[in-house]
Amino acid sequence: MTELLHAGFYRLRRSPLFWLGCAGLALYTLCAMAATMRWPDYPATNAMKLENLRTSMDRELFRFLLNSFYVAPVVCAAAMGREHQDGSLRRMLIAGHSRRKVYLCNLLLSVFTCAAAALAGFLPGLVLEYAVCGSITNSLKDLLVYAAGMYLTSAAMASFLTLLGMFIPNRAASIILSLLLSLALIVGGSGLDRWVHGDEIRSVVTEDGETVVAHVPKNPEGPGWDAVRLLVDLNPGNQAVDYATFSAFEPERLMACDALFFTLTTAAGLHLFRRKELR
Amino acid sequence: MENVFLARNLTKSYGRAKVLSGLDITVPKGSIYGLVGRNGAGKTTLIRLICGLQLPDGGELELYGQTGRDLTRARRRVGAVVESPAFYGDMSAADNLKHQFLVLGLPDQDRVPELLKLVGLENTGKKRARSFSLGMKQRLGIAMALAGDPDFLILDEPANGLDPEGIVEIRELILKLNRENGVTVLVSSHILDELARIATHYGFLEGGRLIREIDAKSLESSLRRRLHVTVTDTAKMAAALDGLGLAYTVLSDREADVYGDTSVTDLTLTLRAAGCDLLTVSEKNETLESYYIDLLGGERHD
Repeated sequence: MTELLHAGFYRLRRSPLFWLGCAGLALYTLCAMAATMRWPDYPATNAMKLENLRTSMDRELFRFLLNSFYVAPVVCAAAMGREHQDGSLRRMLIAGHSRRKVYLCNLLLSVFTCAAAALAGFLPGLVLEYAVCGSITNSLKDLLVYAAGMYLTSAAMASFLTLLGMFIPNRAASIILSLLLSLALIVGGSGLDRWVHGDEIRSVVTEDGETVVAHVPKNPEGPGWDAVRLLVDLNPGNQAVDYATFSAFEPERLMACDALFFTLTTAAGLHLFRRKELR
Repeated sequence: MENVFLARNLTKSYGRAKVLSGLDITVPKGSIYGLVGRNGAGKTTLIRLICGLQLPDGGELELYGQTGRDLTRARRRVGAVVESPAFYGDMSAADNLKHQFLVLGLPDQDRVPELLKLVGLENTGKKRARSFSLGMKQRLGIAMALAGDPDFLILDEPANGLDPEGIVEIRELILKLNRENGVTVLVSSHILDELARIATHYGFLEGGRLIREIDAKSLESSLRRRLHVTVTDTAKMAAALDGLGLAYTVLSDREADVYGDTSVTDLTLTLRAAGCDLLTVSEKNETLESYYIDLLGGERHD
């Protein structure tokens, strides 16, 4: 396994697409943060203005995560597509590495790629916010929880991309399909999320006879809906939206869902790759 | 003789198409085993199964005495070029070799220049492998197959895309590896003349089965010069040829095949002296190609 990882990183270091993707995410974060750095022109004390600026910058800290869902599929699918097309998977098997090791090595490289992309998107924003505001609004605990969640979501996405990449031998097809499915996970996921977790604003008559506006859950409670909610929460695209918009109310639950998604997709990939016919 | 590889009753299907149907093959240690067969005979499928790229539907594979899960470990001793050479097109030849050394877990990359020189790619510098000619790609594939100092080298159509000079170089390389380093080589090729110059053993595949397995010496004796003769009396001819010590096969009371290096004049005079007239004579010099074609549907050589 160590040999394969050494070889994999040797290869990744020479991948212009990887460096380009990371640089693009870093640049996006810096631009998005810079766009929030307009000093508010309404009358307020400097302290209030700084606080508002800090809050705005906080909101942008994890926004890049949505973009990394477009960058990571391209980088990972392109790398694995090349492994297929250039025959490197073949070489690894002929060199006496087991199929399990070959799959896990590619998974770890995808996880590293996604994590590096996440770091490239996150770190410049954090540094800029500290440089401009001197601190962040969120507590360190919240920041660490979100960062951990972000990495777990990236790992879950990497596992999904590995599953796709290891079974589609055509590089172009792999890139297009990975990109489209990532898009579907985000768009479809957030739509389902609104449908499942959303509530409605209704007029409710209280016991006193008063009519008040209340948030009423759209869907009834119960084990059936809990299962549906779990399925929706398993989707890393949905989680990326939650983290990117600072609306992950139960990050611990989402992390558990990420771990479950990662385990399921990896187990499925390992099982299928055992009998995958390579040319 | 010790065997490097053997397969027993090997079967493999792609959907409904049966590509290998009960294949038995034995590759002896130290041999250059030529795999001969038409397109679709199952040569590449057999090579893929040996390399672990595909799994057999049935039968048994044995590599260096290892079977089942232990085959993976045994493959560490194998180097192979299957169909097209495998390398990263956007990296140079040297970088590709370095990557292969890492895959093999060999930290010492000092052999990279030596391997490049061995296959004649020492002057390619930073040129990307994708812009190599077909022959250069083939050489790079062979260099990568040799990176782990394999005991068993598998080459699927190694002469593909090579110019005549390149073919000679690859032939000499294979012979050198076999004679000096004791590397066992399994070569599949359509260029039978080329195969005939290097192979010590042959396996003829047809319809997913090995229809003949023969060593080069036995094949050579099967490929003897043959005179097909029509005579007035084959019984008298037989008595005369026994006296000369020539081998022959009587086909009918007037026809026979005579083997060995004898001139037509000597044969005519000998038969005349024995009271047998030589009516017609035709010479047949068999090659591996004619042997193969005969095997597939022409005369039998049992």
